[in-house]
Amino acid sequence: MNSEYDYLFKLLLIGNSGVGKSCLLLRFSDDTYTNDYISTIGVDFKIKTVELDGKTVKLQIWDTAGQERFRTITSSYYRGSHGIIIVYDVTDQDSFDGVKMWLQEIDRYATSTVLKLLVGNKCDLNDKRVVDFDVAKEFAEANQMPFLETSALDSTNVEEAFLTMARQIKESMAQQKLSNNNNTNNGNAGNGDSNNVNLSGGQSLTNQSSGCC
Amino acid sequence: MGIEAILIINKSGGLIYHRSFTSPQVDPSNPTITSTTKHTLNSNDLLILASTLHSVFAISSQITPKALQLSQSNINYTIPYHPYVGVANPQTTPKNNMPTKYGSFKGDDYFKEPFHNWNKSGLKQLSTDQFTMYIYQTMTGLKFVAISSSVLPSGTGSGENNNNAGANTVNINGSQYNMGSQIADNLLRKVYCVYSDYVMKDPFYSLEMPIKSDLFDDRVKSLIDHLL
Repeated sequence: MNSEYDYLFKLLLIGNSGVGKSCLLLRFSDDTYTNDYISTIGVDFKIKTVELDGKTVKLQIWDTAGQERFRTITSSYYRGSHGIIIVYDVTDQDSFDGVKMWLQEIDRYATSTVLKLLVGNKCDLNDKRVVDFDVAKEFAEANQMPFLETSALDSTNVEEAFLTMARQIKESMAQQKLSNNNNTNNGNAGNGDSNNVNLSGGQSLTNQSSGCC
Repeated sequence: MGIEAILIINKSGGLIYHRSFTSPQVDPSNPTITSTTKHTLNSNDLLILASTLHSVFAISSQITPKALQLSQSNINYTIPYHPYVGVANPQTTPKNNMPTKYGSFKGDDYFKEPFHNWNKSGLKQLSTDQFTMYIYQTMTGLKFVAISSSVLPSGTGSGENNNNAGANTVNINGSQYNMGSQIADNLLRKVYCVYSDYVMKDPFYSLEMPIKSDLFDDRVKSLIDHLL
């Protein structure tokens, strides 16, 4: 039965191959780390249960393969996700340049209201760093998304990255509900003369249900 | 056709409903295997299972040959109506024992017409020696999954199946003809009707989230009970 949890959030991890998406996830879900490089095939799932405001929330994280050859069915992975985490490697300029491409993918496949987060992984390798914190921070601000530097090796900021996202999703859901309620109240009070057609309520509905086939 | 479990997967691949219908009893013919051993999956495993199924579904849509996609107009996607799948038949049950409430549906069944199949290129059926899994997809991308313990539907569709020496899939006039899958589609469409009535009309339900509705539970249970 489903009574074990109240909410199910879909999070997506994207980014170039080898930036440490799977390691980041392994650190978050199992608190372990492996130095071996095993390429993800297609998609991998990890689930973590967290408590938010007294509600049991299951975070289902879809860890996608970064390799180009697995990118054929990605559109079905983006569909309906609540949050997308774009990961790059601070020691690899290419992976940072690739973030632009990933943002385009998000625009193409995901809903416009999806929450984004930029994560610079491997920040423990400070001597090999090629992407400055400030550069990435500026880029993230220009694209209106929060930014964090993490390390799956020494677990810096890993929990924060996922939990910040979860909290934001919860808040945006509560807000959506609130705006829906306000609209209904307006309608009931009879002061709907200015807007007989309730656009804001309908919009939140399409946001949640758009992207169906 | 014994239904072991019903699953509902939302359009983003998240499992929003799961219900198992087997009671944990020891199989008399083989006491070492209890039916509970089949269902030791915890909720996380089930979520992964559902999402993997969603991915496989997407892949199978992708690998549908171009030729088939282009000639879609020639294929008949209508699923015939099978009377009283999962509900009491008024001809065989006395009138006073009949359940009369079908939510917003009037009459003695949820629907009485053949219906359109929206699952044109995705996975429809998965069979093993132990079970058959049927998938019904709605127009909006919601997936209803039934796991059936029987490999061949019992007592139904005998005429067509016998003609082809036990072959489960029979080709008639170039269209897919599969009795088990039709019955499952009829049943799952009814689950969809119940979902529309008891989940979508629940003011406290948040879209795409796990379903927690006792009324929905009861209705699904009675559909499955009537099927046996």
